[in-house]
Amino acid sequence: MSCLRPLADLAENESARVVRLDTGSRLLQRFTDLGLIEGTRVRCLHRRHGMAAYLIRGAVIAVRQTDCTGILTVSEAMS
Amino acid sequence: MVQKTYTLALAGNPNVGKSTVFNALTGLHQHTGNWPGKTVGTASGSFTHNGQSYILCDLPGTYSLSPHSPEEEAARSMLCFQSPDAVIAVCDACAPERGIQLALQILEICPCVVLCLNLSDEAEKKHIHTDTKKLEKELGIPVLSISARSGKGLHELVEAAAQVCHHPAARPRGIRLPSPIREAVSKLEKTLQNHLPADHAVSIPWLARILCEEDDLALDSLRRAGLPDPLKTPEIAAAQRDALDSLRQAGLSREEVVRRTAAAFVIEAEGICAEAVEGCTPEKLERDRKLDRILTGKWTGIPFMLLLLGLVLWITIRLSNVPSSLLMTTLMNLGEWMKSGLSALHAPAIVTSLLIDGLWRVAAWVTAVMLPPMAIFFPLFTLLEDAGYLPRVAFNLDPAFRCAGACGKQALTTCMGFGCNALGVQGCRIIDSPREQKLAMLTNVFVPCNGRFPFLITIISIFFAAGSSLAGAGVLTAVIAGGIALSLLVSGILSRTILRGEASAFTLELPAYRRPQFGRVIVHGVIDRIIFVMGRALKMAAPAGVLLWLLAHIPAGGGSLLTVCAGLLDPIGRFLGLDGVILLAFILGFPANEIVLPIILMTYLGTGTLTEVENLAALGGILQANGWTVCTALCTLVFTLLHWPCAATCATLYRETHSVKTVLWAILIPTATGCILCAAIHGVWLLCSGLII
Repeated sequence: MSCLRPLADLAENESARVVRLDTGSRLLQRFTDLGLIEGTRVRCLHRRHGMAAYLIRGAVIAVRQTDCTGILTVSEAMS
Repeated sequence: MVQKTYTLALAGNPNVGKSTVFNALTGLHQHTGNWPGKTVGTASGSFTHNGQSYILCDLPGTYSLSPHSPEEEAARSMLCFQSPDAVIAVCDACAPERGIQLALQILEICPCVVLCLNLSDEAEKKHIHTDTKKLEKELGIPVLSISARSGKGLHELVEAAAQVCHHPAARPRGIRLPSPIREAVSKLEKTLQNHLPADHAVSIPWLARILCEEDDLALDSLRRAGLPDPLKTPEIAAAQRDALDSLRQAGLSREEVVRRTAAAFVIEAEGICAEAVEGCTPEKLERDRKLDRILTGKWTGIPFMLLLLGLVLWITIRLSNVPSSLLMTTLMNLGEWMKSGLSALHAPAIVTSLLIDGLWRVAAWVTAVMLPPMAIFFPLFTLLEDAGYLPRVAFNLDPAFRCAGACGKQALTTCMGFGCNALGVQGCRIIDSPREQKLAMLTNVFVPCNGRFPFLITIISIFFAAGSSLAGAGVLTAVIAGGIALSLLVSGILSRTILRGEASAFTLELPAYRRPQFGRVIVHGVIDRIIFVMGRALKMAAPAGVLLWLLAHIPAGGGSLLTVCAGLLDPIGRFLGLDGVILLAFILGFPANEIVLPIILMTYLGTGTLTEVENLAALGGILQANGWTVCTALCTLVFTLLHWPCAATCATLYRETHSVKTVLWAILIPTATGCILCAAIHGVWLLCSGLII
């Protein structure tokens, strides 16, 4: 069984599935608009300077690491 | 018979080429850029197709119709309450899922939708294939693959939109909601059908859903649009109470209802795309990722950014000298001919002098000095924008903005400020948090705009670069970087004092890199600049020219009013390392910063008119003869960068915030910073020269 990890902890090139979103309601709405809900697959593309870019449904979205600690994921196979 | 004009609305996510579609259809040149939030207001244009005329409204790009920003609010109000005859939903063929998610939200409000998959040529290159027939079947609306840049599929798009206008679909398409929300919504729908007035234009599935979500914002905008309040009908209010009771009994809080309905749209779009779209895998992004590794790399990102800025500035300085002096000679000669023409017509000498020496010469000067650098800088800048580089700048600079307690998107509005600070201030709408929006507005003037740029180039070329365009570009890059650093510093100070607060969360989309459209960008860039600069020259510089002429010709205390005012300001100017004339020029330059240098020259020369200055050396000679040292030049540079915003920016600030206090702060902050810095530079200079002597 794999354990829950915040999205912010994903390494470059790592893929994961979102299982819980514990963020403020405003950011939650933003993420929902971008298509990030429970069950969505995301992939970390690159991390720099406290910001990371994620592939979410074909689009690249950058988020500050401090803002996505409440998004919990389970790892998927490295690809 | 008067023909009906149909209204079409263009909606879509940011950065899917909506503005390109708009331009291609209407022939207007709405400025497009490859980053979110470019269209901050709604633009509209018209076109005719098969003898039928249409009005096309370009809505601001939005990710959803549940509004959490003014743009989304504007887009939703337009769709909900102004009932366009058809909506063209634009989505990116390379990543259609999010676009379809928005299309589903639009369909819930308005059944007359055409979905267009833009950038289909790029999708083809990336081997992303969308089955439009399947999508049409799933959504029940026409779906077209187009490429607005090359014009492919536009004709068919208009044809489909026309069909929808002529034969509007009967009812909006609701969304498959999860139980028990589905039951609550459908019960409410029935009540609404029975009790809403027959001419009520708002979509019933949508209204039922927002009643279940207790979306007060939506109801407020409904009332503001002058539509009857559904909750005034007792049956509807009772039905809402019933629906809410049943949801609460099922253990769903209001937040949970909102969350689940929002997720329902995502899930439905996902289901549709799983059937109809194939081929979007991370490997397709490999080229972009390689570029990102360099352009946003830990060690390469910022050096590359500075290098790119320096390169753009170098090309600008290098190429603008020749056309500048050519324009100057031509326009001044033209003025002389008009002068002789007027005197041949026996026009009074004073009128001729006012028109030619005042109005024409100032306008001509502004055009000659401002136009060439702008016509070179902006197309170059637009190329970078078009390629998708600016969001990467925001990504690179984010740590600094985070430390300053500001939003990372402030980097984007700062970039907009290069064009025009008024536009930069308006662009701050893309920032959600009101506190961070205010920070971005107050510090936008720290980057030199259109009107101040050439003045900086001129001073740097004379005093700091000794004619070398490479050195000039270096100094200018440093000045701009300094301006940005100061804007960060001031943002940081404000975040800890009058605008106290933590940085709030935001998301920044990094769009795919696209090859810029060189031809279009350069042609439109140059043409748009010419129109803009000429327009400003006529609107701002010409009246200022008349005022100047008057000031220079009204005698007072042994000189003209102009010299007397300059004399009064002299002690303050001297203290700041400037002189009275420079300070006066900045004050008179309030309507338009372009005229600062002409005023300085005019006052120095005491001619009451602008003389033609053939080259930089002659210009330098005039300045040095009037006591300019390297210190004066440095202080003038700083003061150009940091003083009160121009009239247009102040007006925009007031329009955006409706607060006189904010405008006053926006004037005070840069002015105080500039004065402190200038006085400090001057002090250090005096100290050093005292030590040397």
